[in-house]
Amino acid sequence: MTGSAELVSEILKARIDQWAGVINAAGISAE
Amino acid sequence: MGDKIGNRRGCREPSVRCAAAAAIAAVLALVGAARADDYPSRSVHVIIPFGPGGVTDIVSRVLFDAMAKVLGQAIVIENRAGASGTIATEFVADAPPDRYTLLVDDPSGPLATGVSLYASRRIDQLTRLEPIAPFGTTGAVLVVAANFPAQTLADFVALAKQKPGELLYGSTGIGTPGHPNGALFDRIVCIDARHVPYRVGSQGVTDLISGRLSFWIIPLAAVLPYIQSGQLRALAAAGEHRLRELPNVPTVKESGCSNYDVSSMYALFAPRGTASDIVGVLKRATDQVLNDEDVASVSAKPASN
Repeated sequence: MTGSAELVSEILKARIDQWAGVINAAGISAE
Repeated sequence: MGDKIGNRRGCREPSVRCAAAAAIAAVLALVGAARADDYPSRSVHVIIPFGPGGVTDIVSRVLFDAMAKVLGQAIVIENRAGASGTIATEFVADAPPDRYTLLVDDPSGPLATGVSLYASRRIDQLTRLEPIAPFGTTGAVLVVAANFPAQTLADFVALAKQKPGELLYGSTGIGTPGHPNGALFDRIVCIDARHVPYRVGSQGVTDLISGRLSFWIIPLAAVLPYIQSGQLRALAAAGEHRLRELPNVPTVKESGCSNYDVSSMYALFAPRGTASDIVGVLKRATDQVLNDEDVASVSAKPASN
């Protein structure tokens, strides 16, 4: 696949928020 | 007279300034061009946030072998596993933006989960890394043992709801992709499955085949041989589309659940502050090697259609 740096940034930004909700709701802590 | 001098100054000063600015711009352009033209003048190090032999490692080695030929310099791959990729992220984020230390990571998975999983480290992936280009994807599947009683995802969910807390899913460690993937699946289908972390992924797959584990949501590449040999069964593709290798396996959404996409994406990053012309060189080199059919077939395989 080819794509742009902007696409990577957009995905990263969206997924940080998505995963924060899942991880916090599930109480997952890796520290 | 004074006016004339003043007028002359008024005419001359801008032109002098313009000439100086033009000269400075030309010098800067030459410096920039020289930097991009000379790059890379020595080996480039690419940090992989997982151990050798995994999907990310295999895909990256194929890509960077080809890219080394395009760039005319060796590309050294370093595996810096640990803390769900956060150790590698920190290493590259802290590296000087000297163009010779790069990172491969998954912006849809570990790079994003690391923010929440390791909140105390306060790594801001958005401001400390410079995305260069994506170069591949890998689809994921929900797999069960061949003799698992559910034949469809709907059956599976119904069974899980009858047995809250009894179904077990695997991952390669707390916080590794399989863990939040499982937690997200639990959430969207409203079941209560328990997480079992494994230090070694192959041990988890062995337990899955034997029935000690109930399911695993895992990159297809890690389990495709077991599916093909009949030891494991894929109940659903965990992405937007069906997988090319398993055209008869429906997606989670097609099975009547919400959209569920935990496909992996491979992307190349540099430390923030890396010169834009160098980012351009790396982006063009990435695109060039992806035009090679052999490289493209690996970087997109197994991938969603």
